[in-house]
Amino acid sequence: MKNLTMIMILPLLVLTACGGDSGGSDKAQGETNAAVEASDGVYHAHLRPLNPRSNGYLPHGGATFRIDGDKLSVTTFLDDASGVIHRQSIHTGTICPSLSEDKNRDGMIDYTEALSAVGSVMIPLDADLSAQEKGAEIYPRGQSFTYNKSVFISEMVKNLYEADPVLNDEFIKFSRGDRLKLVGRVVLVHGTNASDLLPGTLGTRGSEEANLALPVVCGVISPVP
Amino acid sequence: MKNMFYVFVLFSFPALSETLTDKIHSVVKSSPDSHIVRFQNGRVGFVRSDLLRVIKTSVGSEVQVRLDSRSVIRQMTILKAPREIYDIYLKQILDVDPPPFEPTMISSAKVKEIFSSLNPNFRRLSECSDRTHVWAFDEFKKSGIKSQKAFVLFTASYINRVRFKWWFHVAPMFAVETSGGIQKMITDVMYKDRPVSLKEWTSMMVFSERDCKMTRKFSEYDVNPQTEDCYMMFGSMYDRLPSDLSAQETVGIFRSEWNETEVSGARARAFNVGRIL
Repeated sequence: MKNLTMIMILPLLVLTACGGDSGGSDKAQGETNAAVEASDGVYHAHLRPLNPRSNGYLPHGGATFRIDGDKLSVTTFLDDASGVIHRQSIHTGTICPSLSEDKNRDGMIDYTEALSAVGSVMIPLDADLSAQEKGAEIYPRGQSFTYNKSVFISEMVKNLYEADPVLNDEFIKFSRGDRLKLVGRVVLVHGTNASDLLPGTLGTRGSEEANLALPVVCGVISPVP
Repeated sequence: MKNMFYVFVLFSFPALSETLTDKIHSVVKSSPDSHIVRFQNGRVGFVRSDLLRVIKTSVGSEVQVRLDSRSVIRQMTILKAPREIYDIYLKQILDVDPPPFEPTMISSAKVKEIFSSLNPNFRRLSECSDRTHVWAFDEFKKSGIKSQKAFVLFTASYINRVRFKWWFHVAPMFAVETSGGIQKMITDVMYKDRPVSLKEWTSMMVFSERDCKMTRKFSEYDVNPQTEDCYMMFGSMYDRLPSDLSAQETVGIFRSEWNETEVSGARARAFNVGRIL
């Protein structure tokens, strides 16, 4: 059944990537993007520090994506000084936030400020990559973690084209013509220790503690030659 | 094995978080009842005054320490005694006269090209001194461009105030010709996604946004560390550690050539072989 689904979904991915009624050059660009996102290979994002003043440490991490046919293997790591839950996601945006996003000028790029730069959450890197809703938002924990998960791309893309069960939250589903296109997307990781070094002005995500919502590293995915 | 012996262990560990193996560079006072142990790799550990004596006698030793989540040293084991380390250090003497060192002037486009070509495949938890040394060596071997090293040295009062985890950080620095004159640009691939100015680089670490006081003497940083947040020292591409800068002043040793064995060691410690996997 899983193989049958793959056979049905993969052409959909290609058709979608090449779809639309744009002109010749757009079509050619679409085909290029489709080729990149579906090509076997390794893609990587260096995760560099955001908000290092939150705990006096310069965190660093990496996110590696390996595509082998319909299989996507994801490995992320983070070396930090905060033994907390580190929520991590692939976002729709193409740039990491900078201090220009610090709208309330408290010296930190908080959760809501970061989202204005990195866009909505496309794929939460949690316990189950096959669906946005399935991983129960179970994320790595610890001051030094390694995360490994695999997924069938066809399953993941199918879920991304399903109706959005909760509108106006930070998760987004694909519209017609949207593509997975890992290259250029942003990986954002959150979570630092509660500390008196954190200002009380930090925006957060719902009822989540502000220190756990605070972005700590960010990177843009690029192909590994 | 004969040199291995335990110094102290405290049994009320609140969330031990890290084990660190390195040489003790120095010990400085950070507050009336606390001192900071500075390790050669740049990390720091806080130590209570009542444990100070045993720590001070271990300066120069290679030790293994366990730090709690607030970087307080809870356990220490001496792995190698200081005398032996000092002897090893003396074997690395390269020169005794202050040699001239002029960095190569390059264009803005060139520094971006260099940044893109620096090996990004560093190991997790690699040391900045090792990464920087290899980057500088590789660029010199490839293009003949002479770079400098920018050492930012954090004072004990700053470390204590913001609980910063390092006492120094180093990165390659290039002299870039611009319409406004020569600008020093930092290529710190691990933490920045492009070449940045000294100010932008230090802002990542100096949360007060104060400028780091420029000095040519390590002793100026070492002797009176309470008045500034940080000091800035420029080294040549041959200098790897702050101890290389202090040796210029204390024993007149100026590094003027590569020690390829040392570079190989730094490469093995800091970089993975092959591409990112």
